[in-house]
This record gives sequence, structure tokens and C-alpha cells, in this order.
Amino acid sequence: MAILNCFPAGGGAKLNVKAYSAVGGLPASDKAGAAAVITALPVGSGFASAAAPASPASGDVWIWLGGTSLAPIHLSGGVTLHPRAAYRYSGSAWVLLPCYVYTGSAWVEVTLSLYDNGAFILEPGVELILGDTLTLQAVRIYMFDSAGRGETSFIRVYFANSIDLTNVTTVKMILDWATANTSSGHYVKLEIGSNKTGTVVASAQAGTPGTGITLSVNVSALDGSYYIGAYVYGPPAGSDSYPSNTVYIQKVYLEK
Amino acid sequence: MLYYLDDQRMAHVRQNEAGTLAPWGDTAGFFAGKCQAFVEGYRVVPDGQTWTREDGAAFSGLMIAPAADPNLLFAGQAEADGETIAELDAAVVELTYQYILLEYEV
Repeated sequence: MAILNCFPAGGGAKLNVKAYSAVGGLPASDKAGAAAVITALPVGSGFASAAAPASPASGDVWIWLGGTSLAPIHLSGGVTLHPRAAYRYSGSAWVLLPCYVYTGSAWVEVTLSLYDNGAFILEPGVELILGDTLTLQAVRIYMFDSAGRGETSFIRVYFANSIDLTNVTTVKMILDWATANTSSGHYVKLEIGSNKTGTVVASAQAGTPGTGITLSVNVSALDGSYYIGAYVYGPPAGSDSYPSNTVYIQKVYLEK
Repeated sequence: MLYYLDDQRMAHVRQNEAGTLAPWGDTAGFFAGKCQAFVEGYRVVPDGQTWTREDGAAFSGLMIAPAADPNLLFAGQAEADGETIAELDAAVVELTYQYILLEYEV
């Protein structure tokens, strides 16, 4: 186990990050706020900051701070850190590392997931903005719109709160999508909006139903807080067919 | 509405002189009513195509995402909308004046 000393406030308050070779190496308990990264590779210096170190050496570990964290760390001097992710510099790129913080009762994984197979992680929940049905199932978010014959089908579901996308480069959503009508014009979108009512700033869209669809949108130009949601559209089909859509959201997460 | 995309999938409102930009139809109307500066601040990856960012991350279409700070793009759009409204106001004043003149001639 290696210990990395980080000075996130530029000196004074110190954050010790321990590097373990495997998750199984984490001790049963530690001090509240203890941070650990998992890597079997050699580690160099430790950094905890909002922006990546400018001139890292191979093996350096960077704890990315900012936005919202599942496990804030309270240091001496009133300094509170919000770790979002941990990276090790390979010599050419920052590579994501598993990272854990001991909250006083358990090790909590630091993650950039908003929602993961039934668990709301960085967000408290979702809201139905348009459409008929939103149901939180055991391992997924169920969206359905029961448009009638000749009607338009649409449903919009957004996470309740805005998310700080500063320094985030990609937003991803994994979902299953089925439609009762295979006519052209149906689509499902991952939306990044300045509000929850349709002022969409960026989006990624799929037009073919299927399972395990991954929608990715480049948000590297976005600073500040935005809303994240899904929108499904079915054009009015003939008077004898239903344009209904069913979507199951499995995972929504951010990438640095 | 038809727009044009360069090899980095940046949007343009007009074809270039060499005719090398790829046309893309905005069937959903994302850019409807938007000014040139707004449109040209966006990147569009068409359906069925893939764009690779400098860091190697790949994005499949359809993706529409700003390549510049969207707050600046929306501010520019608001300015353009203000100019359009001012032009329309001036046109209405002129037409009203012409109408009054016609009435007097009658």
C-alpha cells in the first residue's frame, strides 16, 4: 500500500490517499474521510484539484474535485472536498481508477454515475415532464407513452436537479427501446438542456429500436449546470396503428 | 432546412466555393430560426456517421452539440433576434406611412 499526500487547498490541509492493489485490500474500517484508490501499478505523486495537473509524471494520481460527490471529505480548517473521480497518469493519458472514501461506517465508491441499474447515485430521482408513464423499477427506469391510433407519441423524463458539467467531456445513457410501430421517424434522445422543458443545448439520438443502446453526447464546450434527460418521439402513424414507445433506462453517467 | 458540414462535422449555413461540404437536412428543426453564428457554433454528426474527438472518444450520429460556449451562442442569437425585431418594426412603420399616404391620395 502506498500513501499519496495531497494538498488540495495549496498547503495546510492535507489529504492522504492510500493506493491498494485490489478492492479486497481495503481495511474493514478507517478514519472518516479516508480516501483510497485501487491500482496494481506503481504510483507517483498525488494531486487533488479541480483541474488536472499540467505536467504530470507517469504514475501520478489525480483526485478530480468539484461538482457533487457521494462522499464529501471534511478536512481540518473547514475545507470540504468533493471527489468525483480518480485517475492515474499512464505517461500519455489520465486513466480512470476505482476510488473509495470511508464515510465513517463504510467504504463508498466515488463515481460519476447519475443512475446505475436501479440506484440513483449522484441524483435523487427523475421527473416525468411529458407523456403517460414513468415507473422506477428494480433495476431500470421505465418510460411509456400509450398514444392512440393516429396520435403522436412523446415522453420526456429528466433528472430532478441540474448537474455541474464543468470539466465533464461526455454524458452517456444506456437504454433499451421498443416501439409498437416500426415506421420511420421514431427516435429516442439523450438531451442536455438549460431547463427541463425542452430548451435543448445538446443531444444524441438513435432512430432504431434495440437493446443496450448507448447514446453519447460531447459536452466538452459546456461549463456550469445543465439538466439531463431522455426524450422519445413517435410520429403519428396511420389511423390503424399505434406509435407507442417503451424505453428502459439502465445507466446514465459522466466521463471526464 | 439544409445545412452543410465540414470534415470536422462543424455546421455551416452555406456551401463553400469548392462545394466540398456535406449537406445535412435539419428535419427536426433544431436550428430553425437560428442565426448564422449560432448554427456555425455547433457540431452535427449525422445519423449513421461517427466523429472522433481529439482524445479518441467516438460519437455516433445523430449528435448535435455545441463546439463553443452555448451561453455565448444564445447571447448572439438574442442579439440577432433583437436586430430582426428592430428591422420588422421599421418595416411596419414604413408600410403604415405608405398606407396613410395612399389613403390621402384616395
